[in-house]
Amino acid sequence: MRPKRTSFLIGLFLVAQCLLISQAHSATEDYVTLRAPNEVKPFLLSDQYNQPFGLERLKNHWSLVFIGFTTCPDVCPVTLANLEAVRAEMGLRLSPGLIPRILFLAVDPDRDIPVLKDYLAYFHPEYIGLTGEVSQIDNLIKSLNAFYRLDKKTPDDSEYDVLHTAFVSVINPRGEMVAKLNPPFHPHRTGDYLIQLIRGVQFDD
Amino acid sequence: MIRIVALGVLVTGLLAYMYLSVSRPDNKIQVVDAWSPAAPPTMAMHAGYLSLQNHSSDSIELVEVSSLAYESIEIHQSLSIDGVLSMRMLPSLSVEPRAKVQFKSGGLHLMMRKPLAPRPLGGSFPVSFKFADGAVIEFLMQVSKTGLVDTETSSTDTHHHHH
Repeated sequence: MRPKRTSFLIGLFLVAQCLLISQAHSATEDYVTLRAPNEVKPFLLSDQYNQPFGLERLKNHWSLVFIGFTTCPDVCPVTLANLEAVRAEMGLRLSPGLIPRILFLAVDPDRDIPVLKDYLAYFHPEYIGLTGEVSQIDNLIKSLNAFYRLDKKTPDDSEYDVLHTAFVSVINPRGEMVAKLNPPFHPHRTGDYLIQLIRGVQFDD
Repeated sequence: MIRIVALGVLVTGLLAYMYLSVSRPDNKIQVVDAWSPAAPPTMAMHAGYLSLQNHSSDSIELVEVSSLAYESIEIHQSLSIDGVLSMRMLPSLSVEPRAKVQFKSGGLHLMMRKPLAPRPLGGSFPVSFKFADGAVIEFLMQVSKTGLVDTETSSTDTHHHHH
């Protein structure tokens, strides 16, 4: 009787261990460094000041690209605030030229274009908003291996939700996507990860 | 002088308590820390966050949310399915006996459409919850800055700082 019970307990212990390990594993997947950098293909969008923003302007800086829309009341404002906290965290430990810029890729042009400038000014004057023609938005979305969909219930639905990928893409100064950050974008841990990533990458040019 | 200061502190504390925590007259249901992130004036949809506590031994069902300050308010839930964010509307919300439900970013939230008045930072507006048993509670929701926010999926060492 007793050995049976012991082996049952050992079994239970092992199951618990497996559960713990799998949890720990999923926690580390908040940050995914891509095995090979993923080149961003040419695209042409506008920033919130209606100035052209294409692949060339993506280069020579580290950038964090977040996909969202300006009528998103819950997740987008909080993510923008959290990413600013990540930048503040990094600012203490990295030279200013290496701190990533924050790009907000707004995927709902009909509702985003009229308000994007005021929307971003409200969050942070240095944020860059990207919008433009649907085909050009789709070009960049494709390069980032991301996804979005305007969830219109009827053709004239004006209060539709927009489904979009939650991750933030990390773009290096060569215009290549090198990593993905998944929510919740904890400032300290995300800052740590990005600093290691940025310091670990050496460019000859 | 000290007495006046003490009285002031007491009154302020009492007002803050009344402001942040509203109970149904029978004390069975309590709303605490109701706030809405300040948003650009261009935004016509705002989120509302709070904590709803059921102190009773019966489950309760929130069936209607309204406010003089908005055209309509719905209960929404943000979802993350395979890394894709979306929202769904909940027709009502049940709270188990002695349970607390947290409305916070990335999870349950109030989706408030078309504000009927400007929302200054630090200002507040009344919100009304109606329950299936006919009970109604009114509370004030404060407009606060979006600080560093503890999202639904984040670990326990982040906290929102909205005061």
